[in-house]
This record gives sequence, structure tokens and C-alpha cells, in this order.
Amino acid sequence: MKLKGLQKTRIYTEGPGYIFSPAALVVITLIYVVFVASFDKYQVLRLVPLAAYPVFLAASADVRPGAVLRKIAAASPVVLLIAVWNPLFDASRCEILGLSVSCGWLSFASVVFKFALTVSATLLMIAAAGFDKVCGALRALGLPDVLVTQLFLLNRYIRLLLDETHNAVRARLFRGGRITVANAGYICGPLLMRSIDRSRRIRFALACRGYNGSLCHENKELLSLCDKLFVIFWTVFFIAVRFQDFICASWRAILRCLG
Amino acid sequence: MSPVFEARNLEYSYSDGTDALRGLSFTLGEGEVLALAGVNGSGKSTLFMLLMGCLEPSGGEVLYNGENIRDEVRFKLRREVGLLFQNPDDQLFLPTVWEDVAFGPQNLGLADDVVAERVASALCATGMEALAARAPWKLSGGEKTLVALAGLLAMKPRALLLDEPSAGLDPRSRLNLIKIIRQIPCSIIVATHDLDMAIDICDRVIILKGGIAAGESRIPGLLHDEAFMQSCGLELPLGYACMNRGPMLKRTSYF
Repeated sequence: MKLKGLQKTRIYTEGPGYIFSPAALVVITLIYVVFVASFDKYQVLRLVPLAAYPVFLAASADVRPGAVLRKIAAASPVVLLIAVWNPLFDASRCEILGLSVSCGWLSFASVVFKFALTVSATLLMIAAAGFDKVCGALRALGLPDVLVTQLFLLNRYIRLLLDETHNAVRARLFRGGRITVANAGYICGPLLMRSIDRSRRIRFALACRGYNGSLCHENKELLSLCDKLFVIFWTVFFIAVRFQDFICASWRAILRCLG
Repeated sequence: MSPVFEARNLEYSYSDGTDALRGLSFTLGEGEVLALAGVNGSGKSTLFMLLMGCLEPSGGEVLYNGENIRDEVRFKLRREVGLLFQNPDDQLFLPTVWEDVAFGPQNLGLADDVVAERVASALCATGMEALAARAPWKLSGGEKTLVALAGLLAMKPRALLLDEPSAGLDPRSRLNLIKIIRQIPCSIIVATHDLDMAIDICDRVIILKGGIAAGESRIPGLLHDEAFMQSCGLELPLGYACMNRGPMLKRTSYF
């Protein structure tokens, strides 16, 4: 049953459309990812204000933070495996807010934090707009049709693959079988063949209804005034955070207040 | 006037060498409803794939409107002929019922308002209007079949190929489907084991056996020939079986 839960590629409760257009969300999320990635590997604290964007998205799209955190946790082992080498190879030390810390651990934290920010923003963008509408927005923003269709199909085929996996696992478990590393091959092989066969039938079904290579029929969505203001506001915020160290300034202000 | 479909000595073998069809010939006239009956594996679904140009025949030919199915004919054919798959899950692929039904008309390049009108009319014809905003994979089996059929009707097809349309439906859904199919004004081929349905909606029947047409007749014709039907691995339709054998179940005393 846990496996079935993975099928929900939207984190999301179905409801009325998001207040901002998918195109605005795609644009601002792309800008956000670029800004997050642009920070130096030791500037962990300066990333903190950027958490405001995913928090805003989660609140405005009514997505439970726990759902986002679970998705991030599912993808985190790969990043942790990459970042964990930083403390080993970078033994130098630096000073942050008056404290001496290891640069290796600082860059480790930076990689993990950047990953959490960018992945949560992307997940929340999909949660707010819906995957299909994001595809439509990408198309409206000029991404080639073939790439958008690939993305669209990928999302659909994930659902089919999970369906087939669920059926194969259930069929085995219901007959008293167990899933172990040793017999995983017996499940994966037929599963692959079944998935190929299923996707072939779906391709035939699409072709039989005049499919000519493009699946996204969404109308090109233009940015409304509200969308433009949304994009401008957040872009200005990101620029301000990028070029102004608010955390350091706040820290100094606190120290001044404390005498 | 050319028949809608004409198969001439059609042959098809799978990649493992198994023969699915071995010289099948038939025609489908304009406005005709033809039943294809046969046991599992007799080549009904493969025949539909060949008719739609999804598979290439190993021998013989398929003519659509008097023309051999080549690339340009195939393109036209797929805009004018709808295929209802045996498993509607293979056909329903888009996020909502509305979008799925609209998929065909959009591929025809129709204007948005025409697409909307066609979708509304197709959903109305199948009684699925209330489900327009639902996700197709959340529907029941009967609803999925009707939504898949609506997706074909929205293209205003000249012909329909229905692959086991009543398979897995409860009696009421089956009856509803039969009523809907009866009202569709186009040529139809129905591949089915449901011979009662074939009697209800079809003009003619072809019995497939081992990849060839073992028999062909007007309805009911061969369908009440018990010896022939059994030689083809089929049972008599329920009505004839009752007439020939009396009540199927007799109450007996347990004591």
C-alpha cells in the first residue's frame, strides 16, 4: 500500500486553480533556482532568507509541509552521498558570526540546504500549478514541443510503471512470496517487459486518435498584470538577498542592541 | 461504392513465428455492423491492429475506402476510424475525462469552441457528462469503457472498431453500452465473445478459427448452429441455448 502512495506525483489536493498562472510560477522558480545556485559554497547563512519563497508557495497553495519534507527526504540520499565528502577533503576553517567552523562542514551544509530549497520550490511549483499545466507553461514559454511532450509522457509513464510494479508485487505477496534482493530480478524482468508492452499499446491508442507527436494542447498562457507583479516582487527580493547580507546585518544589529 | 474496409487474404505472424491470421478475407460495407466472434487468441485484436495500420500484414492487404493502407491513407484512416481498445486503461491517458475526450478532436486541428461542443455532445451521448472533471483512472470499468467510447465519438468517425466492448461489464452497464452502440450511425466491427450482444446490434457475423474465417452469415444464421459453434470453440448465445436445452439450471432435491 505504501507503494501505491508514490503514485501521487502531485503532493497536492485537487482544488481550485492557483492564484498565479503556471507560466509565472515557472519563470520565478527558474529565477529562484539560478539565484540559489549562485551563492558561494561557504555562504550558508545568506541562503536562509531565500527559504521565504518555498514557505510562501506552500502557504498559498495550501500544501502540507510534511508532504514536501517527505519528498525531499526520499531524494536526499544521493545529495548526502555527494556532499559528505566535503568535510573530508576541505579541512580549512573560517569564521561565521564570530564562531570558528570547519569549511568542509560549511560547504556540506550549503549543498544540502541548496538542494532542499531548489527541490522544495520545484515540488511546490508542481503542486500549485499541476504538472500538466507546468508542461503547458513551458511550451508557452518557448520550450520545443518535443521536449515538453517527453516531459509530459514521462510523468504519465511513471504512473503506469508504478501501477505495474504495484500489481506485480501484490501478486507475489498474495501468494505467500517475499520480495528479497535475491529474487528482485524475477520481478524486475517481467515488470520491464510488461511496461514496454503497456506503453506500446498506449502509443497505438494515441496514434489511433490522430496523435502526431504533440500532446500538449494547452493554450499559450500570457502573464497577467498580477502575475507580472508577482514575478517582479520576488525577483527584486532575490536580488536584494543576493547582494545584501541580511543575516550579518541583523546579527550586528542584535549585538548593538545587546550593547 | 467501395466498402469501408476490405481485407484480402490477410496474413500475420508474430515475431515468435505464431500465425495469428492465415488468409482472412472480408468486407465491411457502409453503415454495416459486423460481429467478429472467436475464441481467445483467434486473432480478433490483431486484426484490428492491422486494420488501423498499427501492424504490417505478413501477407495479403487491407483496403480502406478502396485504397491500400500506406502512410497517407493511414493518416486519413486514423482520423476517420475509431478503435476502442479491449482495456480502456490503455486508451485513457490524459489527466481528466474532458481532456481525454478532447484529445482526438484537438488532433483534428479543430477550433476550441468546436472541440468543446464535440466533447459535450460525445459525453452526453454516452451519459458521462457528470464525470468530465474526473481523473479517468479513478472511474469504474464501465465508466472507463464509456469514456473511451466518448473519445472516439467526439471525432465523428466514419467507422468504429470495438474490441470486446462488453468485457468485464456488469449486466446494467452492458445493456447501457448496447443501447449506446445501437444509436451510433456509422459502420462498426465488434470483436466479441458476447454473442447475445452480437445478435442485438450486428447485421452479420464472421466466426474466426485459427486465423481464418470458419464461417460467415447474416445474424443470427450460424449463431444457432450448435455443432458448428462447438467446433469453433464457442457456445450458443444464451437465448438459443435455453431454447435447445430447456432451463439451464434445474432445482433438485437435496434430500
